[in-house]
Amino acid sequence: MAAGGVMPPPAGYWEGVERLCRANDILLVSDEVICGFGRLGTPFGCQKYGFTPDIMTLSKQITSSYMPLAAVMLSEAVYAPIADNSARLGVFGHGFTASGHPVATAVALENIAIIEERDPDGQRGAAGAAVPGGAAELCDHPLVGEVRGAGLIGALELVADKAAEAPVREGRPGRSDRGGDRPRGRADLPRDRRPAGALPADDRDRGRCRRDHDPHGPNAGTPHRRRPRRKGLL
Amino acid sequence: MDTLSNSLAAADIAHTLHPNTNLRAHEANGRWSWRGARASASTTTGARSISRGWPASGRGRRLFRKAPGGRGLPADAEAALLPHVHVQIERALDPPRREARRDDARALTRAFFTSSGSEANDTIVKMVWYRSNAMGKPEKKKFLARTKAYHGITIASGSLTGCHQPSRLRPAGDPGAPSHLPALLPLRQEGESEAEFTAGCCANSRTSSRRKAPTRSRPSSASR
Repeated sequence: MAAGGVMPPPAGYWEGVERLCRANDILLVSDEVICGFGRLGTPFGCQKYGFTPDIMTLSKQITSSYMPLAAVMLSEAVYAPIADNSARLGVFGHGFTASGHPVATAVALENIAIIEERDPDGQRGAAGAAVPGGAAELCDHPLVGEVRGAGLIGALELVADKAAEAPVREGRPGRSDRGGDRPRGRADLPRDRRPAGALPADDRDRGRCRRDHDPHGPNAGTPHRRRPRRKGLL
Repeated sequence: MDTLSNSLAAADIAHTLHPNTNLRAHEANGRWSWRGARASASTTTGARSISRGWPASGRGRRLFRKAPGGRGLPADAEAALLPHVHVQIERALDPPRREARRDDARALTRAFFTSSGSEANDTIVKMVWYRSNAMGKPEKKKFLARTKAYHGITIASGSLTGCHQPSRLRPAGDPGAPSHLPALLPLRQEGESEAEFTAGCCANSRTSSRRKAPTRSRPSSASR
């Protein structure tokens, strides 16, 4: 659902994966960096797709990215063997210099308070269309292969040849099968639009601001103001 | 440990996984148990600081006091600058912990903090491997990730993502390299229903994870 190309899972996928994990004593990890904090219409993505993780990753939305902070959430069943082994060895040797920095966590507290105040049920993504900002209307465009998404997360996949589903800019860096480092969508070049974190529901359409300088958009012809260059620094 | 049961220090012990710590010793006495000389002097009740390195005084404190704009920093931001890192940790994570609780048996009650999601996912890999060793299953190291899911660009999380660069950096035949589950609807065969496609993905995954499991001390079913 992220920079991999916004690929919603097929129906029943997570239920099947959870059954598989429980049957084989496999831990289930839910990466909620993108899907957490109401973006899909539930407090966390795992709740939308109906599974219970053993481990969860939180980031970005935990401070709405105003401060760098992320967290790993663990169940006691995962924690206990780690704690026991740390007692045997004397330490669980892992950590980062800025882990749990007091300013970042204080900002997270306030950010979460704002989210809970504006959206106590974590449903801000539920009211939105799967693809925000009217992008679904672009399905018929000859360069748009597919429009997809869930909650507040959406993507337009651009294609060079719609019938053949041929990706644009074939062979350029970014293709997952040609050595690019960021795998992309089905045709390897989606445009995902993810609104900011603590965005109130009424302001969701502010996400359109990225397109303000579209040459065919409502602000076409508006001069782009370049920031004045400061002298004497370099 | 002499601590009120509803204090943040008690909550910290119950819900936080501290870095570089003897976790059981921390639960027992509330002290940081770093193997170091002066670093071991701190307590979760805030009696003393770990070091004087945090911006708790002087220019750093003044700068944050002047933080501008809107609601500004929370009222306890200045307190946050004191070196009670662990206290703030628990408070910050309480809401998501509460939200995430769907099944008490598997409630996510412990938090470990990093600065980014990539670091967090790398941390998960290390924790799970550490846990497997602790449970006497050192062969249980395999991760299985959904194809085209994005988890970061660092060595471990980049490999989960399926990035080519981290994959190329790994030694050839690395048994710790993750496998990927191509549950992507565009890969569905013509005439195949979504449910059939999903069932096929899971069945293939089960087969492949069993086939690839090393046959050392005991048969292992791929750890996530």
